[in-house]
Amino acid sequence: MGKYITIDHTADLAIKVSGESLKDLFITAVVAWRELVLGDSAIRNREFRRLNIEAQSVEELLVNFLSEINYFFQVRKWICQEVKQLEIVNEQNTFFLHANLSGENFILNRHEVQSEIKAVTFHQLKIEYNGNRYSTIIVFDT
Amino acid sequence: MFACGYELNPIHDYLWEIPLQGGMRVPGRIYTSRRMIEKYLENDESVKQVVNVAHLPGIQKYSLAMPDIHWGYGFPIGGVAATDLDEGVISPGGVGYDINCGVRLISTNLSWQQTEKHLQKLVENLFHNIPTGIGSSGAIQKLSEKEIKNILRKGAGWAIENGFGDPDDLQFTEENGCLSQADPEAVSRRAIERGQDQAGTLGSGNHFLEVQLVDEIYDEKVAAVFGLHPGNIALSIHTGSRGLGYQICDDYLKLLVKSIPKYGISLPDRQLACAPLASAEGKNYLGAMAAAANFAWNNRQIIMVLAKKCFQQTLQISENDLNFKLVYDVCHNIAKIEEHEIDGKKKKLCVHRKGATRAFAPHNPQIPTKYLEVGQPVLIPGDMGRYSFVAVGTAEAMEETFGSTCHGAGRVQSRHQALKTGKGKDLIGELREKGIVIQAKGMRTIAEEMPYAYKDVADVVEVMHHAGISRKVARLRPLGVIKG
Repeated sequence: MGKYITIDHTADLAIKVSGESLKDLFITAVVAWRELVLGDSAIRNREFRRLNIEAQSVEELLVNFLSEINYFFQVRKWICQEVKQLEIVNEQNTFFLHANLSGENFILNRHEVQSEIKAVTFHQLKIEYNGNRYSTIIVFDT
Repeated sequence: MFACGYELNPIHDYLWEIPLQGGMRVPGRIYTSRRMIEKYLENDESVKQVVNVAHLPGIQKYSLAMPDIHWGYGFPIGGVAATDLDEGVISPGGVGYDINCGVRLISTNLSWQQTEKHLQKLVENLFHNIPTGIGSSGAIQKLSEKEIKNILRKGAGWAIENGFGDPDDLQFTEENGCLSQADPEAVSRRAIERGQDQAGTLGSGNHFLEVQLVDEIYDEKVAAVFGLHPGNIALSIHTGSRGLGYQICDDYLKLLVKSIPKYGISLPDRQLACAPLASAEGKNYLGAMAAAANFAWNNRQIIMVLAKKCFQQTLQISENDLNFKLVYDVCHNIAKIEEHEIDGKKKKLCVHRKGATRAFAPHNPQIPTKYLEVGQPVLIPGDMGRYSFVAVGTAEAMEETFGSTCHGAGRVQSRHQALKTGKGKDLIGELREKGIVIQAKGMRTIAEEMPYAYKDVADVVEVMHHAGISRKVARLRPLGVIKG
């Protein structure tokens, strides 16, 4: 099971996230994103979206993945509630991510926005494996 | 003294130097006081960031920091660095995510007595008419991609052409509200999408609109030239380029990380992603950043006009009696091509100001004719419970800091800590006791932005005043606040 905690960071929002697998870590990072941005607003799984991402490192893959989900919210006003399916593939050090997301459109008065994430940064981002769990810090610029 | 493991040598009580060492191309210099070093900097990573910035190719004279220095992505917030156009680089980390975040100050003829009984209604009206909050939209109708590109080219001039304000407003805006290098073609589609419904919106976080009282004057002559009279009502607007600017920063940080190896640049921190000013990558970033800066100037121009309407409607007052006049609009997150003197010779440089405000001296051709004799107004916002300051630029700023000074208070508590501190307290009541009316999207923003979460901006302003870089002119006390 993935876990995350928020870490005190004076100007921005930071979390430490971990998971049993890379997949678990990525999925937990999305849960953290949603709880930071939308608190405990109830979000229904009404609509599905597919996401395909390519990156040169696993860290870049994670930043691009979260940036995409943040973009869906900021511009398309669509909230990702859950990562239904996730596949991460490493082909000769090019990383591919394929995901099925579910969620619904943002509705004012129904969903309460708690924080605005301007961007997902690379600051202190390093995915490490201790033989048991994968973990990293993620700093969101707010 | 030592801070973050670096030796700090006093040049005088308010200026401290980090000597050249390792790969630094220039020394570091921090405007601060012994007390502020002890209180804030001893273990602060931002000091190391001043050292890191000193490694940038083409950096001139010093890697500078203002007294409100704190950690930022790549550059410290409060950092100033000027680079050579031929040999130097431009760095998105030297500007920040909120490109052309800045402040606009408006003076009025209203007295406190005239305004007091309308204040609650006025704040409600402002909150109702100026979209605030995360992803706020719809101050004006959603614009087409073509129209957004016009804003990116024209800046505040777009607002004027579209009936938002007076052509005279432009001369009281830094760069007349438009950077000509703006290149909308260098702006990603995604960035344009993020800006499409955000023209004229305030946004969230520390951004605000405040109805203020001119409550203290430090320099009567200069204050009078700026149109600031004690006991009068003023209005401040603090916002930037919104989602469009964030996206441009994000896009170019990713692109310019690749320029570091490509151009053989050696840096201690890859967050200083940069590209030579003379390269295609550097030029594209400069063009995109200038476009975002123009978007921000247009935003503040539109918000000013929306606010003016609210004043007139609420107080049922004529335009003449209100006398709503733009004092100045100045930005504090930008990189600009400016002319400065290096070793007695005028030279064009790229001046990065990240959490630093331009503070040009009297007689500088870049400032409005009306202010030529006194210098450029510098607007320094504080927290919503205490005060903000107006200062004025000096010749010393031109000599020492590329015409730059501080920009604000800076947080001392994280948002998370501030929420904890505010738990169970009647925050609105606390503000009301101080005579402040607030309207915000939620209690959370109010808790995050309470005065205890910020340093006292007066300490910051004092340092720059005593260092002779920007002299204090007036203090503004908040009466009515709207927040996202």
